[in-house]
Amino acid sequence: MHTITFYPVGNGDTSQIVLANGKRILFDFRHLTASEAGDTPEINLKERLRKELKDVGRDYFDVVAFTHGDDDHIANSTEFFELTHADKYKGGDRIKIRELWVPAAMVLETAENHQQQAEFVIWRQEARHRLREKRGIRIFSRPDKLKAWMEKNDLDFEERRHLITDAGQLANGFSLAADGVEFFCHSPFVKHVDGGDVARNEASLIFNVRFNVSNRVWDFLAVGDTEAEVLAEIVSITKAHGREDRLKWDLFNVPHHCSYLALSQDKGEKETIPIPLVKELLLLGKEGARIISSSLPIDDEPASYTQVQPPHIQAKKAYDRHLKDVKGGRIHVTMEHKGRKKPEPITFKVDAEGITLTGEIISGAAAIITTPAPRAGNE
Amino acid sequence: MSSWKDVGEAVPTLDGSALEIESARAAVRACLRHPNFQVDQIRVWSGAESRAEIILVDCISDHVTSDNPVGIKVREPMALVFYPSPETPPGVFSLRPDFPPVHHLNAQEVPGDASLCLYFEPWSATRRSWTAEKHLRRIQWWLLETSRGNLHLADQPLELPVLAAPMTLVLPTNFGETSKDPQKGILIGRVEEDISKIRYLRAALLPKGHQDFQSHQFVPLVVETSPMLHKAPGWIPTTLGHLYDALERNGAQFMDALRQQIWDLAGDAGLQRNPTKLCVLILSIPLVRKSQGRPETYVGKAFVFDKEFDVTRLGECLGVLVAPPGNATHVFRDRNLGSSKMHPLPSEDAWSGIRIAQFEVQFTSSLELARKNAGISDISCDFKGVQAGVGALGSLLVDIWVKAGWGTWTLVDPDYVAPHNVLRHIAKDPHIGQKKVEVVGAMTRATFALDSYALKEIFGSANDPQIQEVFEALEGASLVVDCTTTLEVPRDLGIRPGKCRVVSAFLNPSGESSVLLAEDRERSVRMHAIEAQYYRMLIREGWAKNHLKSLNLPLWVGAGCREASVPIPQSWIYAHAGLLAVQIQQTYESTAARIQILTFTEERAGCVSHLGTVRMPIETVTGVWTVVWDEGTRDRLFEIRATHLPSETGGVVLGYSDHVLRRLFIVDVLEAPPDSDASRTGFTRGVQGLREVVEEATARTRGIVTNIGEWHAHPPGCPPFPSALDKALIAQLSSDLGQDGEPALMVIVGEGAISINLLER
Repeated sequence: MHTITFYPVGNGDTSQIVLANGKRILFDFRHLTASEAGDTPEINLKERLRKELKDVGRDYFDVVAFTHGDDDHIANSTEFFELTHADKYKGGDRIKIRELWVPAAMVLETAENHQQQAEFVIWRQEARHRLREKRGIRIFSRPDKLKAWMEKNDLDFEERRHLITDAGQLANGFSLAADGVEFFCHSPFVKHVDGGDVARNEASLIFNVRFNVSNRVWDFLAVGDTEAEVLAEIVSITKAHGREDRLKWDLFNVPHHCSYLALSQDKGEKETIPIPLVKELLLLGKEGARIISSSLPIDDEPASYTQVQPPHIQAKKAYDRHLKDVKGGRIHVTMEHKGRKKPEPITFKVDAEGITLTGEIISGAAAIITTPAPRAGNE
Repeated sequence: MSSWKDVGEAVPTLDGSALEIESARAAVRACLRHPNFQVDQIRVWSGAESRAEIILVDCISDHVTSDNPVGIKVREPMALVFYPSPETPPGVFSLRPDFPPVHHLNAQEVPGDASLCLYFEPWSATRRSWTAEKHLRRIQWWLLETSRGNLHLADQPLELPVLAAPMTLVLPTNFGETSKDPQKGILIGRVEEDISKIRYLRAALLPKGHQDFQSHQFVPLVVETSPMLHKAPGWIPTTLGHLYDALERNGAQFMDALRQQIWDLAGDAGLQRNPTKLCVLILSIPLVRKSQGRPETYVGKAFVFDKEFDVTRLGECLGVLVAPPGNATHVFRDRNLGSSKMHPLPSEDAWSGIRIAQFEVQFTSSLELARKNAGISDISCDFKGVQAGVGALGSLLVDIWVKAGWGTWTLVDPDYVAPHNVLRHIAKDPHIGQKKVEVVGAMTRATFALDSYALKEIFGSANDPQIQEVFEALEGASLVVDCTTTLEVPRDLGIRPGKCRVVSAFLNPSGESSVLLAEDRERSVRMHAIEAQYYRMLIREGWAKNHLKSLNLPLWVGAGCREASVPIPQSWIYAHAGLLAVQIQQTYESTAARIQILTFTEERAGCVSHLGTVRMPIETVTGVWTVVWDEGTRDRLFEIRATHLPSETGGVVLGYSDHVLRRLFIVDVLEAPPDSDASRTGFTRGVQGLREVVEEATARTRGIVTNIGEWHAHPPGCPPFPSALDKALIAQLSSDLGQDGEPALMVIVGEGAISINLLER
């Protein structure tokens, strides 16, 4: 049995795949410093991940993948992981990364002077260092800009070709036969990176993560932040290559904290109408499929309809409708799971019967005795 | 096939405002708040005297796998159906035509939407703690456990694709061997005189030519089918066509054999028409667990044909018999031209619509009932008593007391005697199918010379306010002994005003212990309050750990989900009945209330008696709810508060609710968990060890007691009224407990005063 866990990190992303063979793949990392006091709804991610690793006697992840360099996907990560490019990021109880996965954009992004201490810059240095050393790195997409940058820095491209995975390819290092999983790269495409300025959301990592358990295949569509046009392009390109099966999903981590922009530029008054190719993608959900929104809670109340920042209720309604159409389950929101006061990570198990939420049905009375009561008394 | 999605008319709104039935409105509200129930449509069906309100929903199961072998889907379209009478349980139906034929479905007279059998307890008990929210959770639980294949116990018997019918044909134990005896004939008689109310038919094997055959009313047609695979039940066949579909298409062929029987019966002389004789088809069906396997068991089913189809009409419809032109009285074999063979089976139109009524087949027990006298002394006592429930224990108690001449009794019971009852009950084999009250009445009365002993029987429930006779009996009595083994009857008797003192007696699930709960003579401590104090005893006492737990595997005595009995030696029941008879007599002599548990010693050489402390109850009315607690809880709250001063303290309140009586019962209060944060100005209740304590309390009380709220102390000089913080706390509590449809309780303990606060979402 494999598991996929989504952590309650507010409007941000952190998820982890733990394979039956023990390998651990972490997608993104958002730690909120405020969570360390223990009174925020968001999880103390550092403490949680450290404990999980300690419980299995490890001090490393097999893979840490950053889908893109936005703060809500990397926040405080440079204090948590061991970075190999400079001594100040080494030692102590820092967690090691056996292989770092980044989109090409994260190697190439330019930074203003005032951004030099920003974490995306530190990760850029780390990615460049690992590429130079030819180990512990995988770059997704092979734009001309990457080639140009390597030539300029005296790095032999051919020697490093095996460290690069293009859209439409499987990432090296994992296979259905050996690990029960493979990572099919949908995005970024070359043009996302080569076309003028790099827009992070367009160039972020998107995978079809395919599991195999007892000869049953289940698909997890893992999407960081992206927009409707990029998803539409993925659908048309993948279909053009006759790979429609890579678009089907049993679990879909919907983009950008349930933003309407992942469905259409037009939010819609009551419900976002997805553009045709995105609608096609939604209808490729298999029977019993589920959706994850890594976001703040989503309420169906009048004020939600005018809310500017995601999550957007109109987008949730669109997902609800399509889940019904494909006879799927429901949308699970990371900051709602098992109570909003202190949500718990959402873990799905992957076994021969599908991708299914773990845990049991609990009553309201049972929920009370596992959390402290609000403060009582005579102030 | 009929479906609830087409019943009645759709209403334009989805908020439940068009509904009249309170439970249906509550269900809509609960669905709208529940992420796993999406309301699609609301329909209302209204007849002359009845009504149904139907909520069509998608039920989404988070923990059901996409591809489970049972075939439960992650998203299941369902109809939640509600009826105006609170006595009628709400229906839950799958709207998926290909819903798998799993176990724990209800019997239905017409094939249609699969009806989920959600509750194992009778509805009269279930409704006491029923809320719409818990109903939804129960549906989720049913779907999840069914998808995991857990709702079918390993030792549950093999089942047929037809369900147990509410009517029963009782055959002699040795029917299988003796029915083939050419010297004997089968005589079927009915127990009820009124044919429209038949619940039981009885068959006997008598020598052919026996005089009783001259007046017999039934023509038995006995057929052994070919073997069929064990399958989960679907519905009760109501026509010959349904039966054909259910059996022949699953391998159990019977039609040829049935036709042959009629052919044989006609002989060369033909048959005389006689529309007063009903055909009874008795099927013996060999069940196999896998195809080609050996029959593991034989299941009997019986079907009575519509009165228009006597054996001659039936023979004609099945292409076996034919009426010659001009002969209105006789029919003869219908042969193929020039052959002695009958014609092949005609097309379905000729016979598939023939209506049949299914009877469950049960066999009489041949075991002898051994009876023991408890040996109590003959106490002459002139009082009127009501015995509520004359099941195994109740009938024995009455039998003992009547033999001892103790009291003048009115018996109240709503049940019939079933075949398996005779092994424990004072009823005997000839009583099967009769009303328990009448049997127990007749048998106990028969202790004495004819009509010399006054005893009254009332068929019904002792808590049924509609029965005037019950009301009069309770008004005139000074003692009512409840042996109904229900939750609701003793509670309702406790609430009832008047001078009739209530005593309740029952056995625990393992049969190791019997329990006696008794009100005091003045009735200041009522039965419903004593019930709560009994649970407190179970939670606190070390010896009570397994008191209400079932340690034995169930014994299947019928085909329905609820027809399980626990194996308990009848000697134990006799032993407890004897002891209880004495204890109840002693209790009646004394004035005090009592909680007493009698438990066998390890060697079963005797019983240990545990007496509980009965404290004076306190009833606090808050809004529509009445909170029932007692001086024991009051003293304990003051005591815990005093030990922690000057700090505040608090903890969880244990109890349960009765939504019919609108009462909330406080059973016990817990001390603060060790990780709680307490100071002079506030208290935050921790969690360490709490779940274990609450779960243990729930387990010890068979799921009844759970956490119903919180309590905390206020410092000296500060009245026990809710502060702003307290108001926020109870708001949060009511939001959490509201998920179960329960009100939230907050108890505040001050200096010499306690406030009870209740908030309902």
